[in-house]
Amino acid sequence: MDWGSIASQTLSALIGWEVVAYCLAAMGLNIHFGYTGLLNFGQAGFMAMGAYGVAMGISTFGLSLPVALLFAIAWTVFLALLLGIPTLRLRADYLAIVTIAAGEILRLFFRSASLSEWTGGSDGLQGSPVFTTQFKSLNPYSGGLNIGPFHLGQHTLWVVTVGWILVGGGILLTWLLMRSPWGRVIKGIREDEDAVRSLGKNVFSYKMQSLIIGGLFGAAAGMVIALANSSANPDNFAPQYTFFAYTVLLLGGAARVFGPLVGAVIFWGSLVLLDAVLKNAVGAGLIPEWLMNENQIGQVRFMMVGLVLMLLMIYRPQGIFGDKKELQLDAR
Amino acid sequence: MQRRTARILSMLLGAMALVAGIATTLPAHAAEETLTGSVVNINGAAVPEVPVAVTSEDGSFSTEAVTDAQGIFTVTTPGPGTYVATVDPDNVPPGVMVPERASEGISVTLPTESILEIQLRLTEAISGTILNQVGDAKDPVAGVPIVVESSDGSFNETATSDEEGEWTVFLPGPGQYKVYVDTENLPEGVFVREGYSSEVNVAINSGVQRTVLFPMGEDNRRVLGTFDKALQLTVEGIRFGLLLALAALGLSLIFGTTGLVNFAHGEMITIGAVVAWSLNVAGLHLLLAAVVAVIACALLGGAQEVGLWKPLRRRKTGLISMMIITIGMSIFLRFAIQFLIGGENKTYKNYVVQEGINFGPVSLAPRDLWSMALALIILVLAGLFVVRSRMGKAMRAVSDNPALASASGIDVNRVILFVWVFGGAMAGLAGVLLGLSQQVKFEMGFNLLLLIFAGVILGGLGTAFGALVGSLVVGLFVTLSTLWIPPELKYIPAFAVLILILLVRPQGILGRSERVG
Repeated sequence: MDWGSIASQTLSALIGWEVVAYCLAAMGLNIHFGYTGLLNFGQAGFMAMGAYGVAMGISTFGLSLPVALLFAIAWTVFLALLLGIPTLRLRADYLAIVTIAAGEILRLFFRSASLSEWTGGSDGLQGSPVFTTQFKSLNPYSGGLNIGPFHLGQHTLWVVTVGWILVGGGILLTWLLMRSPWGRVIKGIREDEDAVRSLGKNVFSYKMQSLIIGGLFGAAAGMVIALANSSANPDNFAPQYTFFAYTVLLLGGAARVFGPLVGAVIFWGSLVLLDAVLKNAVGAGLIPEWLMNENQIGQVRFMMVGLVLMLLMIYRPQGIFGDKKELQLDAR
Repeated sequence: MQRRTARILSMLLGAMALVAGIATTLPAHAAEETLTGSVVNINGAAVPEVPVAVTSEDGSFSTEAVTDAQGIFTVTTPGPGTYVATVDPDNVPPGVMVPERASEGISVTLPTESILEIQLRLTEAISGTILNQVGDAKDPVAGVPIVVESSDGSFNETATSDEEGEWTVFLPGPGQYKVYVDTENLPEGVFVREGYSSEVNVAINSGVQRTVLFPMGEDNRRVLGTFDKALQLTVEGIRFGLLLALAALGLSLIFGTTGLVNFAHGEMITIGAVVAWSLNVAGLHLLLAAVVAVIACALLGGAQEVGLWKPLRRRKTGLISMMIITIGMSIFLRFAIQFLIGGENKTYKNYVVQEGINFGPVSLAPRDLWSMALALIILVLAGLFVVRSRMGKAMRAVSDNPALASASGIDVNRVILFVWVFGGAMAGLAGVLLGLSQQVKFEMGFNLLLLIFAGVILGGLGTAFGALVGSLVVGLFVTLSTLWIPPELKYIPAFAVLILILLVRPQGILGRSERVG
């Protein structure tokens, strides 16, 4: 067992792009689910819109990076409107089914061979012209990060820098929004929609704004994934990633400004740690071959996510740092 | 172990010989030790025709051997000691490379029990087979020029297909490559199939060998007339719809009685198929294995209710929390199944190869006929049971108003337990039959979950016949839509219908209207 390399891998992962992506996606869900009570199960769809918005904007439509970012934002807002206008009146479990179906429709379209001219089909978009070239050329770093146990490549370091600035900005935005009158109305909708309506507020419009803002957080997560991998791949946006983001959110505590950040760090940190420890243990022969081989480590990791999600909801639905009073899961 | 016993035995024999006063001399060749090794690529496949040099550590002995068709080489060494086996990087057959960490060779100390293994890396390559469709036959075409170009233009190589139609281009490294058929220089009468591109862009990662296919010749897949095809698809749609209905029944009844949207229902389907498959592979006939699988799923459903859902209801856990718990359970079970059986498709041992029976233009395998009949009978019986029997009446009373049902003397928890057992059994049966018509895979149930939701919601959540009708409609919809849209998009119309129904008539076709907003 090489504990030094395990520690170094885990610590580097804590500041890596995956934490940034999960944090951003969960921040979106925090606005939807934590504050507004909207059960959006299609966050992976919003993430795909962000990733493909940038990738297709540059590779397929030949836009420049800033225009492609605007394009990604525009069509994410469009998706939110398209999804929200009919569905925001539905009750929570129906909304969940509709959003997960909408996310799958998007993924199947991005995956389909008949549209591969534009989307790259099941291989996704990765090259010719490479959509990350412009982003890479803006990289101010001349080398990677190698301080103590932290190791990041040059490109990842640049993605991560931008990503953490986004996370910081997002946290600030959430905090400001939730202490504003707008935030109070949103939380009021979560607690009792009819009471808010009777105060003369347009509940539908508030829900829509919440859906758009949270969706844009999801899109930002998708952009980080696409830029970090230099590829937009449809299978990075399967429904299970929405549920991973929910696990992150519930770990940290829903309706908490720092919840997604704490959740993402714990979630990804423990997954990487588990992965590294298992790999080492299998490699060193500490785990017998009949019990587990190297190819099965990935499944153990997913099993843990499922188990943690179950146990969290059974024993501590408010998350590690959440406040039970804030979280009314069964609004409506 | 055997060798050690042999050594002890020979020592004993030697001692006895000494005692007997007979001088024993060991045969001269006994000092020689055989070194056996194998050469494989990173996928574990044997690599033949690789020259391997074996040298003793002190350099006093050296010899060469070439691997055979099984990738095995054997050399006879002068005796025990440490030997190093190396593969010359410039002398390996095309397609494989000597990785850096193996270039110094692999050492082994004789005598040993184990076989020395040398692992080679795969060279990045693009290959394919050119088959020309002539009528019903697919013939390999020789002499088709295929050009592979790297995206930066630094690499350009043309391969020509051989007698088997096969071609391979080894690449200088990972990267982005353009592969195209040189359409100007095609052999007489050979053309790239209409509607297909003669040019593909592929990204090759490190150590990846990829296959690129170019369909050639006439497209014969539209031989069926549209009407005949529609008929065939209709029958397939009914078969698929019936299987969906079996699974949907449980989901719908569980929702009706408890209000829980069960995202882990798909995994019950998978478990049914996996249990049947594993027993079948272990030697049990599929029919018996199916019975065991259905019972196992019924027990699993009951155990879930007793061990998890009932205590949670007693703790007044909200429905949304319970729904998220089912999601966690779905993820856990799905990957636990993959952990146990792996990610590949599995097939049953019985009823796999069957000649189709023709009914006019429609062709069906006997297994499909039987599974359709079985599903239909079970569904009708289940429907009648819900409508006619006392338990069915109790079930409907509980879905209507649990408090009132309980006040009128119905044991609500017993009804719910029955629904879980019943729903589990139905899902398990659906899984067994699905494994027969498709294949068994860890995510087979999850892939159907949204379609089952679509069927249940279309028919009306919580109603037994609604689930049947809705699922049939969805099954037909999915298969018939391939008449107009590409097959990989066939789920999209069903999902769109799911969304539309929830928007326009959330109580479904057969459901009673109630306030749901």
